[in-house]
Amino acid sequence: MQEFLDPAKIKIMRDSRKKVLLKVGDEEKVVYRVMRNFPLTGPDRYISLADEDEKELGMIKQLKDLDPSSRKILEEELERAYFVPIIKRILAVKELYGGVTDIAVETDRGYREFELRSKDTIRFVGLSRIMITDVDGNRYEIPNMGALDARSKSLIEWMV
Amino acid sequence: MIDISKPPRAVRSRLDLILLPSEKAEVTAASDIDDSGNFGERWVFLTKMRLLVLDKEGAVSFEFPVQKIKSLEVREFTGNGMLTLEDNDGNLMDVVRFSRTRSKDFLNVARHAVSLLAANGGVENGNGRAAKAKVPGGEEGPVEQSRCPKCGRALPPWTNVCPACIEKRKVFLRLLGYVRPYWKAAAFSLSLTVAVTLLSLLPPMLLRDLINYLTEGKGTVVLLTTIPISLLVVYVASSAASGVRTYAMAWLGEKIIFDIRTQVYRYLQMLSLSFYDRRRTGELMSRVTNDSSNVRYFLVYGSQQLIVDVILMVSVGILLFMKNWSLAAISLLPVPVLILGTVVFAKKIHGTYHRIWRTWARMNSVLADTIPGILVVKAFVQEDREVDKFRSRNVELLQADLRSTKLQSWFFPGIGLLMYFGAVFVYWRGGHIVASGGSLSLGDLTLFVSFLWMFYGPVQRLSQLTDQLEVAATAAERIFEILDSKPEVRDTKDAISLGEVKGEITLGNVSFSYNPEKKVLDNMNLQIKPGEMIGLAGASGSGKTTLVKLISRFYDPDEGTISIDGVDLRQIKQRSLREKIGVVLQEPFLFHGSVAENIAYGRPDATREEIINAAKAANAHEFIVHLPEGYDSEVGERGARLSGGEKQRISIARAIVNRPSIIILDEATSSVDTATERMIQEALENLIKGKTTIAIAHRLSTLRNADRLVILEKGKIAEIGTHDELLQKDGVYAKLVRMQTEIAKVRAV
Repeated sequence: MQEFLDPAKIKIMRDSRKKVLLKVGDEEKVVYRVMRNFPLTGPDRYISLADEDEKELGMIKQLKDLDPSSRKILEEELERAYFVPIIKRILAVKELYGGVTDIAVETDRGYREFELRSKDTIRFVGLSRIMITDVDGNRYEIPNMGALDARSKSLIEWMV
Repeated sequence: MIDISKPPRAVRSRLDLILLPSEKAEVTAASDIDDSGNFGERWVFLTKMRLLVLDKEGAVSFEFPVQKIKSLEVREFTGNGMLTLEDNDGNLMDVVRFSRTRSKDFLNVARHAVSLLAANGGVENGNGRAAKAKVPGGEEGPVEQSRCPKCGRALPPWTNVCPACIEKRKVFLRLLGYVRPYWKAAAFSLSLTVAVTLLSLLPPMLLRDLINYLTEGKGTVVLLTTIPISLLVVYVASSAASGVRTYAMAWLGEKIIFDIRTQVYRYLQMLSLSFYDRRRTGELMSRVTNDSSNVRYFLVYGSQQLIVDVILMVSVGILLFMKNWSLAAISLLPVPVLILGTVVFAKKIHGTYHRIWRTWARMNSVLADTIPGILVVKAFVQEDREVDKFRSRNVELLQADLRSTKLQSWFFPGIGLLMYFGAVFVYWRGGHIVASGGSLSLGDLTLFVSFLWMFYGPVQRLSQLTDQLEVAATAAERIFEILDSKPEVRDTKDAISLGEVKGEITLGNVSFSYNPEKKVLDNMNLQIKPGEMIGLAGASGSGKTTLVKLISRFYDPDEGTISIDGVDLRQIKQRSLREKIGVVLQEPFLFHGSVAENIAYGRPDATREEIINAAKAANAHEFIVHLPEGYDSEVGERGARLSGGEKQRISIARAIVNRPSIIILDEATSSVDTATERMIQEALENLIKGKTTIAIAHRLSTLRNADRLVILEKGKIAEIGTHDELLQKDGVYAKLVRMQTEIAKVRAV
């Protein structure tokens, strides 16, 4: 059974070649991939570290238990590994025949246009949180549908 | 969309400055995320000398000499990816970040770098790890297409025909081609249609004459009798004609769609296996059923309505203007609003219908989960939660339904009101004209208003036409796509039929791949002697099944040749070849029909004795006679419930009846228990006696009778030899055997 890594006994470091290392006691292992086990419902908890063969090196229960420098490195790595812009405003929705939909939005990362293959790729998580997956597998999030402006709200309401 | 062939001017001019005269960009890629993680633009160029990244203004944000690159890697993450570089000293660098929309271009860069580094003295790098590019997702099998290869637009999930790229005119012309064999019937029903439509114009005219007589005394008393009689005649004639017409048009449509359905199915049977690899079964079935019924709907009803509406609109329009052009102009006033309103409404109502459909689907999924899973629900005491879940879905449905009803209860009265406006305008203006003794009589006015109604209806229907046409065009296009596919494996003109086959199989330098990224078989050479039994083993994905598919010629090798008794497979008629090969698969597939029919599937003319003998040889006779209906028992859902082992023995009997010269066993015993396996083994031994046999098996113990074992690894032959030889060699096979014995030990515990 995989044990959780003890936050007091580990250290996450970046070596001089910019590789991420997991140090447990005197042993150092290269961390190739950092994964969230619950990307939607618990982004800061249950973080898996894996080596270059995608084999799990261990799991961290809570990021906040780590020492600040370790935590900072993991947060940087997670930021790279999960690119999910937050939609602030929906500017235009254009549905074409067959359910293919063009959407233009303003996100926290800037303006973006994307295409949906069908409205089935819009998913509710809970009552008002919406996750959208576009044709290429890019993700977008609306944390709270109710908090959108009226126009954006009416545009998204037609789609879900 | 960023067009990678057209970098912005700033980038181009900067690039021209930087690159040496002898240097050129070998590959270009554009990213859509900048260094700070916001949406932006970065341009990546790979030349023979360096890897270069420019921002939108042309400033260099990254530059690295190719000589010092050890590896380039595309890493795929959630919602984005990254091109990373490791230099010869082992330093890691991020080159550029991009959304998944652009991943393909960067995989291309990394792939290109592989060959570039190799050509550029990549050997100097020491370790053989030149540039590597990880391709995410499934390794084998077809890749689902999500974008139209022509225009790059997203494709709806249920099709790979791009609705935006269809040339509708061409599709409809082609559809019209199917009418040709029935042109007489078509001409007949078309003329009836015209007649019925024109007849419908008569009653208002007769009524006008009647009113004119009553109000102004024009004409004679005879009119009082002749008009009702004429009306009667017109109504009877038009009802009769319209009945005949409806039948004739429907007959025509059904005939055509019958032809299309048959043709599509015949084509589906003819096409090579590779066509099926690229498409999902459900989607193909829907082409024969759904798409053809969409086309049918259009041919039978849509096109009729279309013709009627066009004739009606044009003829009534002309009559209106001929009668009184100023009144006609007034009555046209609501038309633009009518068209616009209908188009907008159609869009909106489409949205609400979709919403209803989605909420229905959500509610259905609750049902589909819980009713069959009721045991689980009860076992975990979750009844209340499931009731709540259903209730909330039900509320959603109620809201969606009400919403759509609200929209409809707004729209239809609204549109009606609009048309009343037109009529009121006409009464108002027309009333003045009539009263002032102008060119209009009261009868004329009544006629005008009746015509007006006949005019608005078609206008409204025609404004929804584009949607209908689009549905029909897409469906037709999907059907035509099948009809336009060419079987990839084809018989040559001078292909021969095989006579007696000894069963010598030769593979010469055979290479094959399903997609260009990964070779499944790599330059394979193998000679199989007549009557020899070959055991094929190796990890999954090593190419075993592909190899036997090639021997059955479901695919042609990309390179090299396969021959039987010295004759290249491509020179043999496919029918003749497959008749000589008997196949037994892991999952025996039996068709609806009796046991006897299934055994004789490959040779429907087999006698009862042959069938029984084959069943006996396959160890199947025993259980078949004990079935209540013996060999006449039905197989399948409604028929006898056969166990996996029983089905497998029937499928072996099926192979035996076919009298094959070459036998292929693809994991024939892997899905049954050990006792059944013995029965099947015996059956198989009867089948393969003296015939060339290729057997694939995971359970190595089943291959112990093989004359030679061929061990595959990554599309190449790793080892050949007998069981003992290979054990002695202590290579891949020996390792596999050891692993399986260990597992067997664990199982025994």
